[in-house]
Amino acid sequence: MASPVTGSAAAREGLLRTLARRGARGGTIDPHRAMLKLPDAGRRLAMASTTALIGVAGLLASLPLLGTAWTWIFRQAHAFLGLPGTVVQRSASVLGRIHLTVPTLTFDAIPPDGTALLAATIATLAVFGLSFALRGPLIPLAYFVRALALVQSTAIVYFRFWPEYFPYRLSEYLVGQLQAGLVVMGLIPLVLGFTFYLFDLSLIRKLTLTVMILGHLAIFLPLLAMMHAYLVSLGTLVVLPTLFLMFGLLLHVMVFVAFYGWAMSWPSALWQEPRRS
Amino acid sequence: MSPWHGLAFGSITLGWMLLPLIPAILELLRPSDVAPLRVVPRDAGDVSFLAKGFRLYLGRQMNLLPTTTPADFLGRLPDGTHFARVKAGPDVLRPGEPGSTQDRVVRVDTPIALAGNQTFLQEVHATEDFTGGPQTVYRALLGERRVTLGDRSRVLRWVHAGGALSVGSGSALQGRISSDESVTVGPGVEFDRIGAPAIRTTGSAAPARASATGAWQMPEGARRIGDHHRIDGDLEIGPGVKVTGCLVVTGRLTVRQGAEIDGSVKVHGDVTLERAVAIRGSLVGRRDVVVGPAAEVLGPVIGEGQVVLGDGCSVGQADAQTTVAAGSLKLGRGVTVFGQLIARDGGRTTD
Amino acid sequence: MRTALLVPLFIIVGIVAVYTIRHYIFTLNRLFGTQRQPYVDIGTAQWPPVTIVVPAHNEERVIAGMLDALLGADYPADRLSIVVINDRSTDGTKAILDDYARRFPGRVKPRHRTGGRPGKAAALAETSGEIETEVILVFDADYLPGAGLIKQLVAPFFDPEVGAVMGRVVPLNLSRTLLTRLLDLERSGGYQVDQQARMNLGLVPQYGGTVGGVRRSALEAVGGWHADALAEDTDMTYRLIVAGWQVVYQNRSECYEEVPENWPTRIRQIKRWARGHNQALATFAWPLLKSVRRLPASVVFDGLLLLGVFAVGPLLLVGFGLATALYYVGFPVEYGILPVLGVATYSTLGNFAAFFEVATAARLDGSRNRIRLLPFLMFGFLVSLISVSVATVTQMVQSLRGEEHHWEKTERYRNGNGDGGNGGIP
Repeated sequence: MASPVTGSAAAREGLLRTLARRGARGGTIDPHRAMLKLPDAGRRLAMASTTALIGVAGLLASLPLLGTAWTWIFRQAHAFLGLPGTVVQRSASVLGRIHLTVPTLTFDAIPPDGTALLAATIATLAVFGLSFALRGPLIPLAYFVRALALVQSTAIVYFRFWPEYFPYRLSEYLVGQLQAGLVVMGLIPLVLGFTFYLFDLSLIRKLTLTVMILGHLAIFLPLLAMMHAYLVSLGTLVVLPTLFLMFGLLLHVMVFVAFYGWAMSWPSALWQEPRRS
Repeated sequence: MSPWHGLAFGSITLGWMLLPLIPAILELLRPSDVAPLRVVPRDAGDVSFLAKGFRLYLGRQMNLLPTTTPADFLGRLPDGTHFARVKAGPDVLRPGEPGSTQDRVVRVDTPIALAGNQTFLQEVHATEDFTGGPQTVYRALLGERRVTLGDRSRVLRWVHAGGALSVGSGSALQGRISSDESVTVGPGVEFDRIGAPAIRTTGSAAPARASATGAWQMPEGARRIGDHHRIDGDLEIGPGVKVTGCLVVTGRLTVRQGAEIDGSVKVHGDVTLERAVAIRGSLVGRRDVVVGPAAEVLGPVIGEGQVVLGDGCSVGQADAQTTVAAGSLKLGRGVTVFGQLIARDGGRTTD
Repeated sequence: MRTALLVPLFIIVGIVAVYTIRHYIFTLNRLFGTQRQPYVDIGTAQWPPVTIVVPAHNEERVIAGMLDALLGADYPADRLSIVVINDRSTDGTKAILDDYARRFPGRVKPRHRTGGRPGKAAALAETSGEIETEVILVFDADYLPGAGLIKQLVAPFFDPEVGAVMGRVVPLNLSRTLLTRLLDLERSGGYQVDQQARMNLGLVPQYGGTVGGVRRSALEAVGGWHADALAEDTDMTYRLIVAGWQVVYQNRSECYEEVPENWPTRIRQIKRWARGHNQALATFAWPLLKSVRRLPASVVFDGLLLLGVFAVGPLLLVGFGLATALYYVGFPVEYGILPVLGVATYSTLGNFAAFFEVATAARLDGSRNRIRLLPFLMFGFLVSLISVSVATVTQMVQSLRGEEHHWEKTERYRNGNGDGGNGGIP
């Protein structure tokens, strides 16, 4: 094992630099986690911004295709669910600048009558009461269910006293849902730009995550909209506020956070896994 | 409208929504990352920690060697590590051969002086005086007695000496350098961390400074906060003045020649201590700190920027060791620091 | 009508947007900025005498482990004493403390409280007059300090401007339940990113009341511990800042703690924090604003935001209520959706700044796989939002009625599982 160091001076220097970061048993010695940071801030921010803009551009370019795909999903779902009316296309705009064609339904849901309101009230009270059976580790769920019951109760009160003032029609609501979803989709490359693209993962992984999230939402948005339409057709307009306030944007964001949490667990080329107790 | 179709469609929608949650659900049900973080162990501030660990390791391994193992030995330790022991015949290491590389743990049980230009890719343990030649590279070196590193030596991880440690000029010391007795550092040496009861750079020490006696008037606007005075803005302390108490200066601080502060000092801006200034407490600077020639600081010197210790200045005392911690650190000639030097972005002695 | 709803709604959205931007800035700073830990390298020094104060109320499960850890600290034994304030314990705490006092005379000094105002702040206030050392460290009884931690926490006090120091809290029992794992993520975000970024930026790192300490002269200068403070740590942080002292956070000074293992305990804990923080908001908002001539504007601004952090919860609920009202008032969908989106975006996407912070912290910690639990944090946020809001409203009502708050102790687990139930919370 006594041998002269062979190779170029650069290779020797490389070996010595590597050895300087190796522990006694060969493991890599990284700075303590309290001192870790990312190098090359400027380059990373520039790359992240560029990648984000590429993502937004890709999304904009695919808008016509998206409109066609959503119409197809609406038609399939409409037929499968046996909903009244037909699927039609409407022109819509996002932020007044981006225009596309989105599908909607021609049938309009009815406001709740006395029976429907009574049923909704009983169901809401039942759900609220049942939330008290959710104990121990299910307490967060209990809180969510109570929030749900609270929002639903506002709808019941509203339709009990001022049903004629309810300003939304299902057809417009569906267009609005898709529009709001598009805003979320447009934000995703930008948010990822400042929260994910900065990290030391390959460009392929960054783009893969972006495509996965956008692809998922592209299918989820029309599915969710049609599910809302189905529930409104069953439960009258009294369920619409709850669907909008509790099962719209919140679910889109949960999908995003789930993907993000998964992707942030992907291994890093820069930082090694520290030892644990 | 069939309720079954509605149920099926709802299931599809729900399933699709839950798809990205699968990694989260799997991590919840079959946890793969639930061990607590490993908190900072005992070694955090001990410059010689790695050397002590190696001494224990090698001692255990050597105890496991057969008793018949010869004093001069080339082979493996019980854990399989390549190993050489030198007792009577330093020829095992071929010390005279220039450019040789030892990729084994080396134990030297005899006083030895190496010719130089060698590379030790694993640890060296010298139980007697050890003198390295010039341009020698050590991964790590533990000397139980005196250790001398030749000019332009390079240390990759650590060196610890039980006796005095002397470092030749132009050397590069990465990692932890320590001695139980003293470290003397030659000119043009780069370093990260050095710890010893006394650390000196070559050059003559400064003569004893005269005590300051000049009267000091706290500037107008200074506020008393607890046990210190806070001065907003820059502050200049005149030559030969004696200040009693702790100071916090939010601007720059300049202390003129021979002045003395009997307390600790915190400065948000740059600090300049001129020749023969004394601070009988700690000196903390948010930016650069220049300690002038022959100046004395008794407590820790903490500089978040660059710290310069001028020729002949001293930090700490033989019976009151302390720390100099800096972003980067420059040491003049004849500097004495009792305790340890930490240079996070690297330190260097004057050429 | 619409304007009456829109104006307050947009004010709320504006306020929460400021908090969102703050989270982003902190996280980006932690990722790319210079990491300030100037004192942590002081390994050799003339270490000053230090007293470690451990408030304890019914701590028989954990107190011996705590004392063993402190007695094993790498600190000159003749300069370290441990004062355990036995605050009217009814379990075996007293016997354990007396045993340690007998075995380690002069080093372990129990103080048995049998009366007086209950709570940590009162216990500290009552005892601090007896402490003579310049440096006072405080640990809760369930913490397990490592051997090197005491020197690390004392080191910043060589800086004469430092009034208090805070280390990083690391959950030990995270494997127990989903809640402990979520709290582990939250703690990572709060310390590894939030506190360190505030330290880096020279803002207001918070003294957290444990794994930290105060300078006695600073304590005396600001009037000592206030027995009526519901969160004595926040109270102390602000009194020191307003008086011109600095609070230092040291990310590398880590110490194990236990986090609540069941939701009722967590809910009680966060309600207590909210009440204490709100009390501090009422007490210090104006003094802090008045300090703008003496303190950097960034410190005042960050201090105010930190004070208001628990007030954001009820504010968000109000915002959500306004947005719901606007929805019923009937904006056309494409317009009416915007204000709703504003609030919903904060409570979800805007809050994503917090997700970013948490994920970044866990990644810096090298704990990658636990980041996958991120979506479940939404449940944690919901519980916190509601608990904090309930606590705030209750506090306001109690204040109007002139009622006093009761101290609630956080449950311990080390040798058992706690009650594991609901603890009376429906």
